[in-house]
Amino acid sequence: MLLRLTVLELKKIAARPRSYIGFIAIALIAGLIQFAMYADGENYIKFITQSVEQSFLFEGKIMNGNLICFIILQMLIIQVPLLVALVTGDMLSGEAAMGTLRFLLVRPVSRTTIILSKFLAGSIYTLLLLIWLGILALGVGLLAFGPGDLIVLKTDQLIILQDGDVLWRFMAALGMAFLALTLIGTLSLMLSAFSDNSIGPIISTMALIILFTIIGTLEVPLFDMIKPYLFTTHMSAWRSFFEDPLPWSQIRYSILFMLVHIVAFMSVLLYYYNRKDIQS
Amino acid sequence: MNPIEVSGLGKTFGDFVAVDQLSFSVNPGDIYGFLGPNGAGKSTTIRMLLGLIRPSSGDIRFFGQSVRSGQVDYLKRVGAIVEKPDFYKYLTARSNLKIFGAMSGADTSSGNIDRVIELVGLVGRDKDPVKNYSHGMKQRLGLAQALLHDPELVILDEPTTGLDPQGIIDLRNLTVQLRAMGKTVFMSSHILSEVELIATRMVIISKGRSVAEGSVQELLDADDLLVRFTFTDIRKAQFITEQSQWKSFWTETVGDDLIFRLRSNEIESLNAWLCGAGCTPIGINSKRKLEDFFMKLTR
Repeated sequence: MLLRLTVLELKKIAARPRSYIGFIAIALIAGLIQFAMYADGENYIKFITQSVEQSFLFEGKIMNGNLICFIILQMLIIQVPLLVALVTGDMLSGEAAMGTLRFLLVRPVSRTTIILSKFLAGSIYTLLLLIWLGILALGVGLLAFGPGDLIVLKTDQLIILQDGDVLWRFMAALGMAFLALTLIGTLSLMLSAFSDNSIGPIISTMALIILFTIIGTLEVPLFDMIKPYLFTTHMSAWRSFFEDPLPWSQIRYSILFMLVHIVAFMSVLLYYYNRKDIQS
Repeated sequence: MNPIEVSGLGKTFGDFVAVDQLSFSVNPGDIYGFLGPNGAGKSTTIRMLLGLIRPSSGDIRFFGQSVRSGQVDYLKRVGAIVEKPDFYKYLTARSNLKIFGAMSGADTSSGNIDRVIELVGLVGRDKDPVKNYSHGMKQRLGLAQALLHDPELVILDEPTTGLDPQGIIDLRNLTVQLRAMGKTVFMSSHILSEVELIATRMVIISKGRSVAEGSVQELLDADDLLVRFTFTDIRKAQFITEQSQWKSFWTETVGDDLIFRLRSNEIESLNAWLCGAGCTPIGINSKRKLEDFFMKLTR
């Protein structure tokens, strides 16, 4: 029954125009970045390498498909949570607002199964968004700009990753991003259980992300204590796969942290929703 | 086993008591009327029956199975419309039926969907998106989704709301047809005349409590009517009535009307006497006792 319901949920997602906003937005933004890099990429590279030009001499094709993909991921992974919340934040509250929830819940299916099917469908949608992002960022990037070593410039170091060592890192980074976005999907799904309108959970999710991101960015000693416990801190853990050597303990901690959050959000959702009086 | 057994059912929202010690039972094959004015607790009760709202007290049994067990298997045997029917507007009627049918374990083949589409009179409109449907069409689609998995018990919450006269007649005929097919129908309404025509048994609730339950025949004594006589000179009519044998039948005066409780064969006699006394009524309306009974109970 869970599988059948998940397929039904996916059909509902596929039938809604808003589900395609994410795919269109990713295509537009990725396309825009690629066009900008194609048109004026050399100046951009000069700009970002000017601080280290005195110490290093760069030779070869710095502007390549791998770098383009890395730039797109840096820019887009911040925005993708909004696109995920747009769909998952509406999964329960949207049904309540539309009036279909009471029809859904008078079926011989437990509420737990219904929620799990929505969670799975939301996760599959998230995965499809990331695959789309991967195809556009890496696939199109490699086709348009060709392969090459990836230069990752950090505040305190310069990392050069060889072309043959990059693909698995992108895959692992997308896997990590999937976990982070699933966390966002679960958060917005949980918030959507508390609301009978679609907009509230979507805005609440974004407000939390923005708030935590601001706290994570501000260099205030008081906030330093709580930064490791903010899920937004771990949402950028995908960048760890572009370090050398890999900070495995940090990666493992981030994975565990996000998994615990997903389980916790789901537990709250199931506990609350199985007891909720449906009055919409 | 009875399709529905409700005993001591109660629901409170904070300090507000929505349903209080409600008990009734629906027998197999009944068209069971669930009557009460707006706000009496009908929808809350129906939501409790269907597991949408958790009862604060009491028990509900469907075909002998308590809903408190947490199992939802009994819903395989139940088809329902809860309040106004709403669907996925961006999908066609047929796609909506497939989704809801699949969740109920129904046969969602084209043949079975065609069967219910025809039964509710939506032939030719089933491939239209629901966003183009009128309220009446949505009601029909609501019925279709309730019947798709061929349930033994059909629960209809205010099913005639928003229907045009033809729609009401169609629904009435369909309800009778469902009973002929061996199904039990539980139908809520705040309109007595709607239920009175087809119900075999009924319960009347007011302020969350049951105020009467029984067969319609038991509740409806057709020989005892409330008859309203309208006069141009109400004072004269009142005066001569007070002096006559009809005084004991006179129940009250409302505006220009005298209201009498009469047997049907007494109406003509009273009218003849009034005409003979020079106080000819300009209008006579009889009100059935059940309607009055309903109003009195639920006031």
